[in-house]
Amino acid sequence: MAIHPTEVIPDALMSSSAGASDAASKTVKMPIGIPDFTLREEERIVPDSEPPVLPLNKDLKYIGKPTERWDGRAKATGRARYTADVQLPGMLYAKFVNASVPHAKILSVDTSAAESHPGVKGVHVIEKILGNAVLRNPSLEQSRYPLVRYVGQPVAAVAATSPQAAEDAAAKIKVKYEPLPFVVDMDLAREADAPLVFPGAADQAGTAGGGGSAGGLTQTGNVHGPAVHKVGDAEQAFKESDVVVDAHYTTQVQTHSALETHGVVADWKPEMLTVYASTQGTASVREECAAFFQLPMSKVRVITEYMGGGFGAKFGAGNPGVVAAALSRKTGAPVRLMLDRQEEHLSVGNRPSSDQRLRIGAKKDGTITAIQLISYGTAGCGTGAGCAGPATNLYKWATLHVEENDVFTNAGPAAAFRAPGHPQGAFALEQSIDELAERLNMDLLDLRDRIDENPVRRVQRQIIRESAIWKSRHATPNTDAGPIKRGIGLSQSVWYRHLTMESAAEVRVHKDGSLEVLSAVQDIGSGIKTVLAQILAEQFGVPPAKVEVKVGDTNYPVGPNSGGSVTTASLTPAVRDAAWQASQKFLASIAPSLGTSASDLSLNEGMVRSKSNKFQPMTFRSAAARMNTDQVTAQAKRIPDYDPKKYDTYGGVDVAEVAVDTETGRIHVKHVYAVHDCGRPMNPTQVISQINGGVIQGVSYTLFEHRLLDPNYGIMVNANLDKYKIAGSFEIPKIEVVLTESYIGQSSTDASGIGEAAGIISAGAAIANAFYNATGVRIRQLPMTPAVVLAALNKPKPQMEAL
Amino acid sequence: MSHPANSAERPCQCLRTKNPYGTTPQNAEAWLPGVATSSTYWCLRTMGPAGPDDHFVHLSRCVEGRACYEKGEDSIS
Repeated sequence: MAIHPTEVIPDALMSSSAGASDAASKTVKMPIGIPDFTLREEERIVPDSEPPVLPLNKDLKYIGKPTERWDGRAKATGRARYTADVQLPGMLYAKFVNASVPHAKILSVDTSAAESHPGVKGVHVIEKILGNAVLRNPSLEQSRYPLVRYVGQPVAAVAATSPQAAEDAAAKIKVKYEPLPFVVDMDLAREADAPLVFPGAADQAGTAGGGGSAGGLTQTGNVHGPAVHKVGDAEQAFKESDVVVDAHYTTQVQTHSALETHGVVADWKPEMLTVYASTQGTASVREECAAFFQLPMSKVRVITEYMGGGFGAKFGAGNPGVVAAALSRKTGAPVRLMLDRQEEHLSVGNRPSSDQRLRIGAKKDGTITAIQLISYGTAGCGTGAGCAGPATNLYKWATLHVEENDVFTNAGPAAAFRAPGHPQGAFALEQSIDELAERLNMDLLDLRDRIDENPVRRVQRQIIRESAIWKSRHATPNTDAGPIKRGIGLSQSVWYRHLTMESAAEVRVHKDGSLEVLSAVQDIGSGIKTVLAQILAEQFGVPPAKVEVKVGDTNYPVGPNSGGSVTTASLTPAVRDAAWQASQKFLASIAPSLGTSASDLSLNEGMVRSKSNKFQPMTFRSAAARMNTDQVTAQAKRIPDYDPKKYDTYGGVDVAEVAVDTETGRIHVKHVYAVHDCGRPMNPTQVISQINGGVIQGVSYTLFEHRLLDPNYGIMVNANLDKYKIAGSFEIPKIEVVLTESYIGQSSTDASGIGEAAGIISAGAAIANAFYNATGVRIRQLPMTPAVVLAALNKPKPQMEAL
Repeated sequence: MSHPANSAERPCQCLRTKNPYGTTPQNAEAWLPGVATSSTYWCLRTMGPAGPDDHFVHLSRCVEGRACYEKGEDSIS
């Protein structure tokens, strides 16, 4: 089915900004649905200043086409400058001193030996900023220093003329502790007599020194919660159900392990604080530095030229940012503070664990009558261990009962981690849905067709039905006779179309025909630079490689913080709007020299034409030489979605094929068939690359990654990349990606994100369901190490089982 | 990064969160109570999960009445 968007384009398109809610509007017809499956047209009312509706990808030259990374060559050749590569004149090197005990009051910090160490230029001790706060328990907390709540908590830092000098001096700082009882095991932390991570009696009132509870959230011992979400009477619905699946699942703590660690180079000058940061949000670092140091935003500049991954943990200035800036202010020199790998594991985030009891009730036809999820999880000494997203949002249910609890432990605080809460939640939900299908004697895909209202996943399941891998699946579990058993399973995932309106860009057209796009957005590795180049390429008809992309600098128009899969969906419409407006200004600037008016001119596929044939078509570059000014510019900011009442989810469906060695307990994931959607894929090469990464990270989470804390000392025993096992090349399966191009009619690009839904959510359940298909046994625990597998199969534990 | 969006009360100006959803979209408010339990919080004053009073920071806790609560009326010096 071919769709050719039609619209009436008004004459006045020269406005400097798009999207004012009270601006004149026009009605356009937009493609909606999935080509070859559900494509149709719907009308949208959009501001007059919006560009013409973008055709389907198949009708475009650059957008939607596989495109080489704009900065691939720089990365491959080492020209790309990451934060750790920044070298400034007179720069100092900083090193943290971190707590060596899991829970303690700091009695003293002796920096004298460090300060006299050769090369040391400054020392910073993190002190309590009490302000107007009143301590909950003065006898325990009265100290110059914050309480230590986990091993690895930053205590002080040293700045010196070399990394070695900084490290040597840091080792000379003497911290005297008064140790306190601690707990690192979540189950023990839930017990009534467990050491308290946060002092004070249970369940403080609202006006207590430590603050009270709002929104019905209570604190009892180390348990914060439950956060309750109830719809209808689930208990009654269970009684009226034909089938109830009731199961218990656990998942482990995973650390982020981005290739580039957290870090900054801070350069405090009287006129400006400049921070080079490895961050997912230049805007977030600027805002926090300004607020922390009481500086105007205009006096803080944040630069992120290249960034080596973050997965959600790199927002805000953090301790590295403010400590490096403080040391720079103190020493009068730029200061570099990059964390080492151990610090990365300990103090800057992790994915919380989960302990979930999940009940699902259903009628004989598969209709879900009730879902109940009671979960506990530890985000260390922080919060954020909820995991009810999938149970709440993936399927249609009649009643819902969710209770989520955070359990405090003496461990590093969690940080957002790629699809927070969803890999844990989907691991449980999607196994129980499979189990429900089996109990109902229904096909796995047929059951999901009945209970899943998402139209894109319906198409994705159809694609899977017709795939070779699904057709090769054993109809009944545990079919293979030998010790190596093959199985195939699937899992669905869900994510949400979130946006940030703080997404803007400037497009410049120069008289020599060169083009620039500028935005403060940072490219965290997912390739937004390339996508921005493609948008200008499409508008002006030049190859993407010829577009100059300048991002990662708060001197440019504000860019979105990259988290929650918001970047492409948020920023690309602003860039396309700016490119469209710049192209119209460009035509206006060349019209006089061509003896015509702007309305007589068109710019398509790199050629400028006269509608009245006043001149022969000429290239964009030739036409640019006729500009009556050296440069035309246009800025645009994200406007709200065209249909703000419509709120989309997306996600994808993944199929995993495993081979289980029932003698050693090893699971080999052989093949993942990943069917995913992200609205309009702007650059399929990069979308597939993100899905590859998500699948690999999901396999790694499912089989290997596991933060291990010593219960006797509270230390992480595998805080490195040797014993903290991450999937390597031998463990990476064949990954086959199918993109479901999907149009929703929401913006001038109609793009959504892919980062969260790219495989990490569904990998655990898909592999577990494949394991069940292979062996007839359910594994409800992550990671699925050989020991866990052998225990599930009732086989003896291997002698050399280590981690 | 941003102030939590779904608080009935105005949270402390020092409360920061990287909830996984970026800025709340126009009509997502109804979603947040069910999913924001996976949000992590920190305090601008301490850059950690405990506030100046050494108690944990959270949307449910960093509200008026907590001793270290800052309303946000201070201007930049």
